[in-house]
Order: sequence, then C-alpha cells, then structure tokens
Amino acid sequence: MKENNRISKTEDQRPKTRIGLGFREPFRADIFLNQDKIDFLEITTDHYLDAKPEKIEELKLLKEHFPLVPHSLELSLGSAEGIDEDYLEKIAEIVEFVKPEWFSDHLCFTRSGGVKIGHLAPVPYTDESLKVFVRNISKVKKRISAPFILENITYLMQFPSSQMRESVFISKLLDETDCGMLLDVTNLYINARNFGFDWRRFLDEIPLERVVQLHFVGLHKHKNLLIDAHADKTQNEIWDVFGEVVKRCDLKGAILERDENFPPFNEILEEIETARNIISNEFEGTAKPVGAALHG
Amino acid sequence: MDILLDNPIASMYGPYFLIFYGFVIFFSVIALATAKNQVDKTDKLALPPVPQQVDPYEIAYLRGGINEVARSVVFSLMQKGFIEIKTSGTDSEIIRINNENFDSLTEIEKNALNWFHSNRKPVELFASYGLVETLERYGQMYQARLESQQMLTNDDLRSSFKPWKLTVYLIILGLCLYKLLAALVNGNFNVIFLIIFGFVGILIAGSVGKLPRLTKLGKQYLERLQLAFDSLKTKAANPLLNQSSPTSQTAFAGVDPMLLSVGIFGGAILAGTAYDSYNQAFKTANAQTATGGCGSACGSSCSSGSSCSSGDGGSSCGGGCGGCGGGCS
Ligand SMILES: [Fe+2]
Repeated sequence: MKENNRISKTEDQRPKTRIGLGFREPFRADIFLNQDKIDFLEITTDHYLDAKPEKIEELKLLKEHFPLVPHSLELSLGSAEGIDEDYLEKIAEIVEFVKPEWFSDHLCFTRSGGVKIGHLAPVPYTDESLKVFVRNISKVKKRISAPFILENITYLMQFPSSQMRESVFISKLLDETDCGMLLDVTNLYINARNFGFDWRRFLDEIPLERVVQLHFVGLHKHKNLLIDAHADKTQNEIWDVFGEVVKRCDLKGAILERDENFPPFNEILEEIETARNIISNEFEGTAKPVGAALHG
Repeated sequence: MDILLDNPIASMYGPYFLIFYGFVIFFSVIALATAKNQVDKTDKLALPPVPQQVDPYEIAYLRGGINEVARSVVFSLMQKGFIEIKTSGTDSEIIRINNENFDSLTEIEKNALNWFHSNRKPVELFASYGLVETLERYGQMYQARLESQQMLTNDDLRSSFKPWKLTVYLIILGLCLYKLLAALVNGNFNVIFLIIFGFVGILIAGSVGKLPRLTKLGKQYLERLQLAFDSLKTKAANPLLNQSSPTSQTAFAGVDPMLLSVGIFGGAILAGTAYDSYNQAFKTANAQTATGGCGSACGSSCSSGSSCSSGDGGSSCGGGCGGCGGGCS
C-alpha cells in the first residue's frame, strides 16, 4: 500500500519536487496501476462542477490515493467586470474538499460581458489590467485560504497598448498579490518563439522564488506558428527550458499536461521519468531560492 | 391446559387470524431484514486503498466465486496463446494449442492448463472433475484471505445473525403449528390457508434471512475497484489493443489490463471484441448449465461491470455465482 500524504511527509526536509500528471478520465486505470510512479495529480476543477455522483466518487477516490492540486479554468482573473461569484463559490467548495497545498488558474480572461468566450484570452500588459487582476485575485484570496498560484498562457497576438513586457507585468502582479506562479514552460517557449523574445530573459525578469509548480507538454507546429495543443510528446527544446527553470529555482511540483492524442501510458510514464531525472540531476549540490509564496 | 386452547388467538375466527398472522409474518420479516443489515458492521471499517498490484483472480473470486476464477483463467490461457475457442453455431470447443512458453504462466494458469490435456466443452469447466474442481484449492485460499479481510461473509457474521433467523422461524412456524393444533382440537379442519401462509412465510423469511456473499465492505471495495479501473472497459473495446498478441500497454506494470478487466467486470465486456468467441462460448455454457442450477449463469449476465456494482446486484450476483463453486453463505 502506498503513502497517502507524500507531499507533507517531506516538508521537514529540503523541498523535493514532485512529478505528476494532469488527471484525465482515460488515464484513470493506468494511474492506479502505476501509483508509485506518479507523485501527485492536478485535477481540473471544472470537471467536477455540478458533476454527476460518479464524478464526485472519482474525486473522492483520487483524493484518497494521491495528493491533488486543483486547477481552474474560468475564474477569468483579467475580466474588468469582476469575478463570477457563483463560479468562485463552486471552486471554493472543491478546494475546501480537496484541501490542497495550492490551487491555480490562468493569467487571462475567459469571460466578457457575462459570456464565456471559450478560450484563455490575453490582456494588454498595462497598469489598468494590473489593477483589474489585483482586485479579482484579492477577491479569490479572500474566499479561498489555500495558496493561489497563477499560470502564464500562450497568446497569438500582442497588444500595441501594452506598457510593459509580460515578464515585468507578471513580476509586478505576483509582488502585489503575494501569489505564487505556475510556470508553464511550454507556453513560455511557444510565446518566445512566436514573438521572437528570449525565454532566458523572461526567467531573469520574473521572481523565480515565487515559482511553485511547472506545466510541461510538447508543443505543436502549425505552419510557422507554435501552439499549445497539449497533444504532443515533450520535445527537447521544452526539456531545455524545463532544465533551466529547475536549475534556477526550487519547485514544489511539475505536471505533465496532456489533453489530446493520448499515447500508450508507458510514454506518459517515460516523460514523467525524464522530468524526474532532469530534476534529480539538476538539484544535486546546487542552492536555489526557495518558493517564497508557499514557504514565506 | 384450558388457557392453552381457550384464548383470543386460539379462538380467533379463521380469516381474522390469517390477517393477524400475515401481519406477524410481515413484521417478523422486516425485523429480520433490519437485523441482517445491522449485523454486518463492516461498512464502518476503513475501505482498503486500490492496490497497485491487483490479482485479477482474487478480484474475480470476490466478484463471483471460483466459477469466475475459472473463466478468468481460461481467458488468460487464451490470451497467452495456450488454448483457443472454436465456435460453430451454438457449439463451442476449447482446444489446446502447442505452446511451450510456460514461463509466461502463473501457477494457477499452469494448473489450469494441465486440465486442458484434451479438447473440452465450456460446460465441462463447471461439471464434476471440471476445471472448477481443479482450482478449488485456490478458491479456498481466496475465500480465507477475503474472509479475514472481512470482504466475504464469514462464520462470525453468520453466527451472530443465526439467533435472529431462528427466532423469526420460530415465530412464524410456532404460530402456524399452534393455531393448527388449536383448530384441529376445536374440530376445524379448514386449515389449508393457514398451512399456505405458514409455508410462504417460511420461504420469505428464508430468502430474506440469507446473508449476502459479500459483506458491505466487500461490496464497497469491489465498487471502488470497478470505478478505479473503469477505463479498462474502453480499452477492452478498442480493437487496436485487442489483437491476438498478449502484449498490452500496462503489462510492464505487472498486470495485464485485459485480464484485469475480465477479473473485475466479467467476460461480458469482451462482447464484440477480438475475444468475442470467448464471450460466445460462455454464453452457451451458461445456457447449458442453467438447468443444472450450477456453474455459470452469472458469467455474462451479472458481471457486466457497473450494472452489477451500482446497486444490490454486486452482492447478489456474487452470491449467485459463488453458490455452486465458492461456498456461498
Ligand atoms: Fe498549462
């Protein structure tokens, strides 16, 4: 039988990075057959909102076997109209049930004029947007006491009205809200390639001590554009970013985020193992800043 | 002596007594059902976690007794290329294939393979000197282990329920015999309805007073496994994964997912897959053995996964299947 609380067991030691998987229903049996290879799971909260009893049973089952971190999609933190109170309440209930070490959502807006727009939309990096995020995030933090971490998204356009770089915007936001960061290394690489900036400089400019968790997955090439389809095996260039981040900061966890084109599960496990190997190789004998958002 | 034959019950007008007796039977049976529910306190125990290394045969035993173990072993031998099932019309035959790769077999599978020294009909599995008898010692092992884990009804549970059962039998039978005696002594010979009431009452009490094979804990645990491994059913239905090769995605995890899904959900999940001949063969065997009252009637009808687990079916299927081979309570 496996340990049920592997995250808290290591708290008195030097933080150890857990490697896990974004839970998707088709993985369920394989996940249980490979419990020792998966340290924790990220659940998409939206799959459990107003869910059928069998989904609630699934959540209970997962909770009893793995440490879980909830990841929501529709808080729409960049919406000037504010947070949808009903949605926040439902997320709060799930977070309270799961009792995670942290939970996350995206640096974007997904709702406009009360209507869901169906994707994660970027905001211009302005002082005005910053105020909107700060206001919305403080509402979330008021309702949910678990540490909140924010994820960088990909975008297909940059706003001419932006007053600062994404990295600067994120830094200011994390400082003002005292949130942690969920750094999606695939999203970072895709944006850097699509818009011709240096992802290393991005890393230089964000507060790495606030990075709590990573997302990684393969990128997808569509003509000259890179997109985050969550449908491909993690490529070497993504592993390079992953390795660099691991080298520079002390993480609590990294999640493989696969949503489409599911391969045989042993390929998923191979990717998890690769991430684990990179971390164990990078960690040896190096001192790094420790995630202030969770330890401070 | 007078009071024995001269009291309100003894002298009660026949039809009124039958109404009274009917109420007595009804409430006795309700009390018995409540006691049956109360006596099994295993739902208060902690539900064991889903193990990483699952023994498909043990789960098959939990689900349906030794008959289900035999079916699962046959599936595994077929999947590993040691036997094949030839079906023509409604007739099926299990044929031994020349395969020397015995290292791929577990102990139970090796024992089962020895039984297939000649061609066999599926129905023979459950007959005298059949595969089920050959595997009986594994059944005893699983029975003992699952009883000790309080997943299956054990002697302790049976003996704590016994006084309830005897009391209800005594009330139903005692009242019937007493009234019969009083009626005969008073010269009333129209007692046929009284006898029918008594007989039916005992039958109902007997049926309600039967402890299920699975305890509440066993039923919950089986449901938990069925939920955890539910996605294996999709894999079983995926033709790409159902080629004759036994290699599977998760074989490296030490458990073959196809065998595990047969163990957890029963052979019925193979309907329409590359292993449909297996499903057909046991359907026929079920039909042939149904009249004998033993063997495989649960094979494909009850074990079709969530339908069995979602309601009371889980335990009733399990009890019915195990009744012949696995020692039902
Ligand atoms: Fe992501």
